[in-house]
Amino acid sequence: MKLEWLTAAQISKAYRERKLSPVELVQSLIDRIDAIDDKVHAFLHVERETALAQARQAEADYMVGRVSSALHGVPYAIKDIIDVAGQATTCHSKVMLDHKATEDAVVIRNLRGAQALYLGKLALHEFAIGGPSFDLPFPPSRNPWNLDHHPGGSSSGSGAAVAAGMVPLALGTDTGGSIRHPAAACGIAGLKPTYDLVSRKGVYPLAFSLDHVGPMARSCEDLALMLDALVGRTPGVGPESAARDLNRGVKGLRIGFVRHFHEKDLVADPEVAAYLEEAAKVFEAAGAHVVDVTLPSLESMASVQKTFQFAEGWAVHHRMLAERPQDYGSMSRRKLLPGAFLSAAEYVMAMQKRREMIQAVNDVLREVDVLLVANSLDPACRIDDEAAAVRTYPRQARAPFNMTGHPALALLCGLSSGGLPISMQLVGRHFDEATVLRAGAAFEAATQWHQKHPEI
Amino acid sequence: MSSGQNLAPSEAALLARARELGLHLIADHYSEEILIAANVAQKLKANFPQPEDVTVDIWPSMSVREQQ
Repeated sequence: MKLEWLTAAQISKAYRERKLSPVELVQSLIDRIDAIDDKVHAFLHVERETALAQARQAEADYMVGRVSSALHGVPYAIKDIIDVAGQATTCHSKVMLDHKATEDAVVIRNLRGAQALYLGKLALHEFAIGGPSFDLPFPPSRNPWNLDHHPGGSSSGSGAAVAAGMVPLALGTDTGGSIRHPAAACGIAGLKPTYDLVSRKGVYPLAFSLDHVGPMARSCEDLALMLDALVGRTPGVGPESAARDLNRGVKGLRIGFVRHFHEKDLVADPEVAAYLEEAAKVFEAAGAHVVDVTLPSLESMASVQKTFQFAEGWAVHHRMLAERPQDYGSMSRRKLLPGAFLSAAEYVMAMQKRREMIQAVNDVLREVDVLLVANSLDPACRIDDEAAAVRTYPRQARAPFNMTGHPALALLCGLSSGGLPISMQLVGRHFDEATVLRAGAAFEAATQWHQKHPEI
Repeated sequence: MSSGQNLAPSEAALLARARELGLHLIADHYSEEILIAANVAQKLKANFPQPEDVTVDIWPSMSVREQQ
C-alpha cells in the first residue's frame, strides 16, 4: 500500500479495518514532505509535533471505537490565508509576516469538529492574487508534474501538495479560479462550492462578492467528504451530504456542453479541445445526454468578474499599498492597482450585469443538469516565464462562475503530449454540489484519470 | 522604475490622480506600474458589456437562493 496516494476515503476505511494506523500515516507523510518539499515548496509550515500528537489520539480513538466521522484522523493542510488560532496567517506576504490569528476560521473549527488532522500551512500567490513571484518572503510552489512549470494559483501550494502525495486533502480559496487553476495545472480535483455555502469568516478577503473557500483532493468522493465537514455536516452521512449521489452514475443526466467558450470566445490549445470532446463522449457512453448550450460570451462574463475583483481588491488593499508598497510583490501591485481607476458607477453597472448573467446561467441550468466547460485553455507554462504567465492567466473559463456563484468542479481529463495535466469543469445549479460531484465521480469511474500521479 | 519626469500629459495626469488617492510612494517608486494599471482599467472599461436595462435593481447582488 503506497500511503502517499491513498485518498481520504481509503485512509478512513483502512483505519476502521485496523490495516493502517494514523501515526504510521502521518509519519509517512511528514517523511515525504521532508524528502521532496525542498523541490516543490508547497508547505510554509508543517505541524510535525502537533500532528503526531493528534495522530496518537486518533489511534487511541479508533482502538476503542470512538470514531466521530469519516475524516477522523485524516490529514489536511490549508492555504495560508486561513486563520488558525495562535499561528501566523502570512498570506505569503511580507506585509503579513507579523499577523497572528487569535481564533480559528469557521472552516478550521468545523474540520476540528470532524476530528480531521491539521498538518500545516501551504504556499499561495501573495494575498491570493499575485503570481508565481520570486520577490516574496517564501519561494513559489512548483508543479509536481514538472518542477519547471507553473502549479497554477493562487492556491498553488494546495494543488502541489495534494498532487505530490504530501497530503490527501487541502483547503483552497477561489476568487477568479484559484482552486480550479491549481487543480488543473497539478492534475487533481478541486471544488469551488456555491457562493456563501462555505463560511469565509477567518479567511483573508480578496474580493468579498467573489471569494469562495473549497476543498482540493485526488477524488470527487474526498471533495464531498471534505465539503460536508466544511459546512458542519457529518462527512458522508445523511440526505444533505454532498456524497449522497456519488454512485448513481450519469444515466439520463442532461449535460450542456459550453463549446463556444473554448472554440469561439477564446480558442483553446488543440490538445485541450480534444480532451474536452473526449470527455463529452465518455459521458454519452455512460448514458448521459450531451447537448450544446450557449452562455453569455466568456469575455463579457470575465470582464464583469474583473470589475468586482479590481474594485473590491482595491478596497481591501489600498491603505496598505499606499503605506507599504515595497512590501508587496511586483505582480500583486500590478494586479491590485487597476482598482484605483474604476468608478463607483462602473461597479454598480457590474452589479446589474451580474444579475443578468446569473439569470442567463440559471436559464440554461433549467434545461440541463450540469454544464461541461473548459478549465485552463492551455497546459501549464514555465514558472520562470513571467510573460507567459501573464498571457495565460486570462486564458481560462473559471472566472464566470465566481461572478455567478454556481458550483464548479475541476477534474483531470487528460495529459498533454508534454506530460502536463489537462482539466475540465463541471458546473451545476446553486447548492447542487451533489449532482456536480455525481457527474465527476462517474467520469472518474469511467476513465481512471484520477489514478494518474506525477513521478516525484 | 521611472523618475516621473518628462512624461506625456496623460501619464502625468494619471500619476497626479494616483497622488490624489494618497499613493505617493507608489507614484515615486513604481510609476510604471501605475501606468500599466491605468491601461488595464481602461481596456476593461472599453470591453465592459453595458447592462441591458440601467433601471434594473442592483440589490440583492449575490443572494443566489432568491434568484433561482
